[in-house]
Amino acid sequence: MLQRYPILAGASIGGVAACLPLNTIDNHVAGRELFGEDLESVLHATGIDTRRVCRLPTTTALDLSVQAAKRLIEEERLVTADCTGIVFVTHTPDSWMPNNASLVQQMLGFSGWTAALDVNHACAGYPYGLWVGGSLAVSTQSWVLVLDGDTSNHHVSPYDKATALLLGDAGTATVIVPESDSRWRFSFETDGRGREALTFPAGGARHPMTAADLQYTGDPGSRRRGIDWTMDGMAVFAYMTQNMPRHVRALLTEEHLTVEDLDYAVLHQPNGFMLRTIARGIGIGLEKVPTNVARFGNLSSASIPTTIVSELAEDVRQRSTRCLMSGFGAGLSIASVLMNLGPIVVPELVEYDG
Amino acid sequence: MDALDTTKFIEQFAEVVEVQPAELSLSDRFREKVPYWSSLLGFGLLTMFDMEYGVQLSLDEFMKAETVDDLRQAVIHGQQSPAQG
Repeated sequence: MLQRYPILAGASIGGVAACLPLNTIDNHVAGRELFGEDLESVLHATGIDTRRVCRLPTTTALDLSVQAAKRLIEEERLVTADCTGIVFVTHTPDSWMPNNASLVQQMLGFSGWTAALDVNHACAGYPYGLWVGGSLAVSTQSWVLVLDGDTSNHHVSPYDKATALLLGDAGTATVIVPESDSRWRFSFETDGRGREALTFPAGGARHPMTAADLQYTGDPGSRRRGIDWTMDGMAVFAYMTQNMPRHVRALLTEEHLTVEDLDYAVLHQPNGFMLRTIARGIGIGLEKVPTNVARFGNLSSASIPTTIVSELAEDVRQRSTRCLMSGFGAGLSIASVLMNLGPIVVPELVEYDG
Repeated sequence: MDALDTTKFIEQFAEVVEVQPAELSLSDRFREKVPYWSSLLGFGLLTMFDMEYGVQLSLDEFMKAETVDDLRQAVIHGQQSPAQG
């Protein structure tokens, strides 16, 4: 029978680690020229005071995620030869070919018997990574590494008000282990009609990059290159604030739960205002919605695992918590999972000078 | 036709822009009245009008509105007009 809310039995999270660039951008300074006197109002709404941004143009999501993975493997004392799969969630891979996951196999010295694949997703990516990684762990009965990271700032125009002060860079690692008692419940939604709302217009096969795509064009306040993040903020805001509450309630109902039963709703954090609006729509108190967007920026698909590390570490190291995790973004896509999280290994946040 | 409850409208408006309902009245020029007004809050209002009243105001209509009451009138007008495509 068709199952709209996929069940994955037999896998659980063993640990989560995150790595951020050490380099910190102060939006209250960096945004002065672009926003002028509107700056403080804008930052009050987005709630993004500072962001972590790679110092070097050559530092990638792969570098940050591998740092996180190394720390996690060390702290969990995992046997690398036993890892059967690597899943890498990113929309900023090192190259089109080969995929990031194959590079990780070599960098971390995993066995040749390792399945390696990337999941191309933006802000909705983490639950997808858990679904694929969890399925691999169940089918191989060994541990699987899910890396999730984006270095969005390499592809952002400093002259585009929609994105210039929004994004942070991050890389994360999650270890998934077989565990017979565990049961995860997912919900995935896709609406490709909104494909234009969040996109890199140029640089793919459909619109190969030309010299013109390297020029900044457009009106003041939205000048960007063809290869840059292009976001229709109003369209994304409207779609997500209208659909997320229904999506979350439906998944909870399917599991005979209400928001009261949750310890945490770890949501993707596009910006502070949107997070609060969505939380209000879901009907969940903000004390159950951990956030780091004020300090780190919108971390794309790495939002959720980074928040587990920076906000929930103390709690989930010690006890089992009932968690909802929801990502939402480009596609347009919404992806959620309900699970018991903890006790798990959570190393201190790793910082990378690069 | 005016089925719009003003008290409720102000409550909903205040919730979106994150102020106390008692601090807001119909005659307020919301861009000046709301501390830290920004376009993001405008997105919030447009979405609320759509969700609560089924009215999709255009950006032009929104920009023309100066007071809370201007927006209330626009929503009432939107409810009376045939649905937009």
